[in-house]
Amino acid sequence: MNENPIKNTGMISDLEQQLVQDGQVVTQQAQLRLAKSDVKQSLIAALTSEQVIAKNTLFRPWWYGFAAVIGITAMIWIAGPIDSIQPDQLSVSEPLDFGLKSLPLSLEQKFNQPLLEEQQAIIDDLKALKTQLLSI
Amino acid sequence: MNEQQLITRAKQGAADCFTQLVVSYQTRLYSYLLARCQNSFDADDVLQETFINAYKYLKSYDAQWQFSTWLFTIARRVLSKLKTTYHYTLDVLSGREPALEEDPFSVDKNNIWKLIKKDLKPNSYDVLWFFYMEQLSIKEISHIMNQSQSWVKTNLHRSKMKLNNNSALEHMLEAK
Repeated sequence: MNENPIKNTGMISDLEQQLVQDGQVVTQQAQLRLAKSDVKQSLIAALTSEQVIAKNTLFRPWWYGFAAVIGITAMIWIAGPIDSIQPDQLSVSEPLDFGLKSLPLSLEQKFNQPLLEEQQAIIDDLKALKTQLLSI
Repeated sequence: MNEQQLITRAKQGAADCFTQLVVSYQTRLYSYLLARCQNSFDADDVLQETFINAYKYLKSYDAQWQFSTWLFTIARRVLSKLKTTYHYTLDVLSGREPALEEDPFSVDKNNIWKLIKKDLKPNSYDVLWFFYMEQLSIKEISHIMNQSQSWVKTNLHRSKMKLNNNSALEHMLEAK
C-alpha cells in the first residue's frame, strides 16, 4: 500500500499543486542540462580513474590489520621480556609524614566515644551469641 | 533486462549495466539536486559523486528498498559534505541570493522550490521534495532521512503549515 496521498487522491491544495508544477519545471531544466552535458561519459571517465586509483593503491583495508600485527610483534621482539618487580627487590621506605595534626583529645573523644561504645556493644552481643551457640 | 537484473549484473562488476542504471535515474536525481543546490555546478559535482559512491558501495544495496531511495540517501550524504551547497543559515542571515549570475540552469527565482528555501530547513525541504516530487512513501522517506515515520509525518505537516502561513507565498499563489 502506498502511503503517499498524492498518488492515492487528486485532492491537493493550491500550495501542493504549485509544488508539483514548479517541481516539474525544475525537472525540465534538469533534462535540458543533462542533454547538454554528457554525464554518462564524464561518469565513466571518473569511475575508470577511481578504479585505477583503487587498483594502484597499496593501502587496502586488510593491509591495516596486517601492518598492525607485524608492528606489535616487532615491538614485543625489540622490547624483550617485560620487567617485573619481585618481592625481594622491594625495599622498606620510611613512613610518610604529612605533618597532620591530630584533633584535640576532647573533640576526638566526643566524636569517637559513641562509636566505640556501639562497636564494643556489638562485640559483646556477638560474644554472648557465640557462647549461647556453643552451649547448645 | 529489468532493474533487478541490472543491479545484480552491476554488483558483479558489469559497468555497462551500471551505466544503464545511471541513465534511468539521472534526471530524477539531478532534478532534486538542481532544486537543492545553489547552482547547477554544485549539482553536477554532487550528481557525479553520488553515482561514484553508488558504484563503489553497490554491494551494500539492500533490495528491500527502491533503488532511487538508496541513491537519494547517498546524494544527501554527499550534499552534507559539500560546503558550497545550500547555505541555509547564510541565506537567511544575509537575505541575499548567492546563485551565480552566469548559471543558465539555475532554478528561476520565482519558482516555489526556490522561494521556500528561505522558510524551510534543509531536512524539511528534502521531505517535501521526496513526498511531492518523488511521491515516495513515508516509510521510504523515513529511510532516506534516517528518521522515524512519525518524524516525517510531523515534519511534513509543520512544513505545510509554515508555508500556508507565509503571506508572500500566498500572494504569489494568488497571482499565479
